[in-house]
Amino acid sequence: MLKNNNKFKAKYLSHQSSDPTCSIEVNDLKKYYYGKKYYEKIKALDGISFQVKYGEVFGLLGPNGAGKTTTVGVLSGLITPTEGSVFVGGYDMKKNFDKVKALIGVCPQETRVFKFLTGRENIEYFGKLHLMTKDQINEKIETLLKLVGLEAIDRKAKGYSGGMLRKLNLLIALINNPCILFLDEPTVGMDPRARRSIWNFLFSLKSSDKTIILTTHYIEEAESLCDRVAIIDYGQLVAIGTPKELMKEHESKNLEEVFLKLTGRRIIEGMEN
Amino acid sequence: MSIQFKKLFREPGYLFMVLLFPLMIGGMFYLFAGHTQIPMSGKTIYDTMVPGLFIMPALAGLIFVAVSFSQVKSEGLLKRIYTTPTSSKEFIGSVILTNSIIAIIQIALLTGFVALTGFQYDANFIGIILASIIITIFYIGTIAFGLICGILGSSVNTATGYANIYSIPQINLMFFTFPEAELFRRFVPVYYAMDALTIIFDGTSLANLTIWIDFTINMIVTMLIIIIAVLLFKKYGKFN
Ligand SMILES: Nc1ncnc2c1ncn2[C@@H]1O[C@H](COP(=O)(O)OP(=O)(O)O)[C@@H](O)[C@H]1O
Ligand SMILES: [Mg+2]
Repeated sequence: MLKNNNKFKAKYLSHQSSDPTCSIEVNDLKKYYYGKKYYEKIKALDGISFQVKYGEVFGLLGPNGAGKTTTVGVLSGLITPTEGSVFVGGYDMKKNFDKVKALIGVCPQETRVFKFLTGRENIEYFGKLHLMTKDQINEKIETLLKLVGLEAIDRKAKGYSGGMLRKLNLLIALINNPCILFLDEPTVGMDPRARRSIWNFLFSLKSSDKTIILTTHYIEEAESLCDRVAIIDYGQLVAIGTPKELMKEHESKNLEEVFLKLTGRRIIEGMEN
Repeated sequence: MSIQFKKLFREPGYLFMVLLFPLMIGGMFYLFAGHTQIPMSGKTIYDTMVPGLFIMPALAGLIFVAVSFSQVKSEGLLKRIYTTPTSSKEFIGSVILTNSIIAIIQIALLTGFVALTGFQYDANFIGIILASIIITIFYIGTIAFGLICGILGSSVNTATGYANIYSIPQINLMFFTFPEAELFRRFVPVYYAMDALTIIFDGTSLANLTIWIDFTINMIVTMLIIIIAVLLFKKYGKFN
């Protein structure tokens, strides 16, 4: 039932949610922002519901401004929803976010690293914040570096290229060996070769026991990597299922076409940001 | 090692500046006022300015804390810290600890400097202990205010702006004597710390009531600032 071999982590999972096989459960989630004028209401999320099972790789696709980052923000405790309930690792985010923190790793859309520290020091620092010992941290860094090469790991992040910063951004999210991983556009702005290596790395995580929630603009890659995808637009869920199911349902030869049919837009249009 | 220390050591020029800042001000004071005697007291104008020198580390700390906190916040790093089991209090602790160590070094350097420049004072040992306590209380209040600036400032620039709004009038009112200054002085917190220090260094009996009024006001202001800082941190300080 629980596709989680990591006993240490499994101990911390809870069953407050209705379905114990789900690592993520989102019910009628709404997030409204208010503009300068009182009647300006931005519906960043307008009532979305979905579930993600343990060990699943789940892709959130949608044009720019669809609400992907907002969804990840709510799931990782950074955004308080206007309405709706959210369970992560079985915990109610409203009541038990502190417990959830031990389970999750978050790779934010913007690179958030200390520029005056080296790559290694950045990872070490976040390892410490995750209450890991020095040995645990060093061991994990060695394993991660074997999977995702970052030659400049011992140089100051200040001098990193965009692609190197994104790699570091991702590595930090993995230091605590999270069983639920949030990746918000992990490869955006990388050159194709670096992107390839990150996607390969994500493939290698797939066989492990991690649940991965991923937002991306690269539909083709999402199609091959994700067990299931959800397409959101204007804060609403317009489709959810395995890539195969969606292609069959919408009589399309690939996910890109499904996306185009459902949103009327090419995802690339939304790539300015 | 705290990451704030690392930051300082990564920028040795900056570290040098930070450590020497109060000394540079002290040097200026000595140059301009070290030989101007105050009639019939045997002291120089420089001697009366020394209490203000010991306030400098606190005002430098105000800016340091405001900048450190607002920088990490504006770069989204507080958000990132917030999703880990350790709270951003740990980070703030490291900022405050680092700055306190810097302040201690600054004060040690200043003490050496005023001794070398022949600072004349009439306080006894207990007086100096009391003066240190007053400086410490003022210091705590000032860096707590730096935290408020960091929490409220949406960017490093606005946070620095708030810190300057707090510190620059205080510095001006304390060191420049013009008739109106007398009136406004009593409205700025630094007045009470410096007034007490001045009275103590003059060798006045520690039973003097003004010292204790100054002490109490200094204490109350510091506590108020800390309470406001804690409340603001609870409301806005986590990551926004
Ligand atoms: N803090 C905010 N204040 C106001 N509007 C916001 C805020 N954050 C996001 N939005 C709006 O919510 C919508 C969804 O944003 P987001 O989740 O970032 O989209 P995506 O990640 O899919 O590109 C957008 O219209 C965006 O402008
Ligand atoms: Mg986004």
